[in-house]
Amino acid sequence: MHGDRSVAGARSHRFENLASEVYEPLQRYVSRRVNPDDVDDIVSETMLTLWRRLDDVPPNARLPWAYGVARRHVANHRRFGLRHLRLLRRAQAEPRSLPVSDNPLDAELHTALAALDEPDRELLRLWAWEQLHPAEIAVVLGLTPNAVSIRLHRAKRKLGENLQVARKNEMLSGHSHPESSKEERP
Amino acid sequence: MNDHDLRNRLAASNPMPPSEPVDPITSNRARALMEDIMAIATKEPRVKQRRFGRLSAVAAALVVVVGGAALVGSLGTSGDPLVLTGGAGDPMASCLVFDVETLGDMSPALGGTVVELTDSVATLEVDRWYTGGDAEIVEIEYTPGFEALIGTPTLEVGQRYLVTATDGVVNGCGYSGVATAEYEASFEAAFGA
Repeated sequence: MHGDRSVAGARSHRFENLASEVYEPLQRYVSRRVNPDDVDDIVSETMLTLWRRLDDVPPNARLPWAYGVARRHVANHRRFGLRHLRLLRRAQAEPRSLPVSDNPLDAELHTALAALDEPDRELLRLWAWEQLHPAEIAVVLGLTPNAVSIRLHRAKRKLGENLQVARKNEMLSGHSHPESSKEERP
Repeated sequence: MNDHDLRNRLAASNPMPPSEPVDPITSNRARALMEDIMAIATKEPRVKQRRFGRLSAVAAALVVVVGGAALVGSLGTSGDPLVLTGGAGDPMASCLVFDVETLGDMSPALGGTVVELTDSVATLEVDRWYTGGDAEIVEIEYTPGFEALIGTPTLEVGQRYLVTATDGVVNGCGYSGVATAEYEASFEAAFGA
């Protein structure tokens, strides 16, 4: 009995240690991808999965692995459309509203991103928003680092090309982006 | 534009930059979340069985419509595994009587073969979607006792199963199990396939 309690205590301690590393970044990761109202549920489900699969979490890539779990819960969330569990009564009892940034995508970038495939967009988000390296992105997406490096390189190139097209279109329509105009100069 | 500039420009469009505050791990809210998660897992056999086909006492229902997700771009789902939770417990406790009409109300429902098995996750390659999904791979996170719940002595790689779930939790009591011709006929009847 003492042994069981000790094992359970050690497991709880490991989980709390993991939670202290991933809980806050996970909220940002999920907030970037779903409606604010859904963030709590997805973060809760992700934390529950981390608890269940604590032994599977790679010690050298805990946050990217947690992002990978969250990514699948986000996908589930969208796939179901969704009837969904709210896991925690006590958490609900302490309402919190997540701040939502009003930082808009600039029109050029929005247009350029919209012209990419979703997998390319997600690669770029992980790279720029989560500030992950290719090896870490590989953990999130379940790919090899080499495959991520190649795909990321292509995605960046395509985005650059799309930005040029978007910039030309903006200029033709009579709008000009001050910084973009500067960059256009040889 | 070089990599550095491109990354900075993308980062500037981040709808939730690192400077935005979130719920800290030290908050009462986070504390409650961690405690409840650990309590749910340790009480899982009893809780899961009781909530078969329903929402548990711990997990209250919430209907969420993810209508505005496209605001920040949609995440591709066709290539992502569907993750289900497998409960555990006494398969004879609190079971509804199996009937095709009840089966037909369940979603998702699928047929698939176990291709990988660890102590906590069964990975199924889906060959048939009756309803509620399109994923090629389904991962079932399970705990000891899950086999009994779905009426099989052991999960086996290479074995085909028919699986239903409610709110992401695999249904037992005859509503998920090893695929047989007779069982598959029930699914065909239930889902009008």
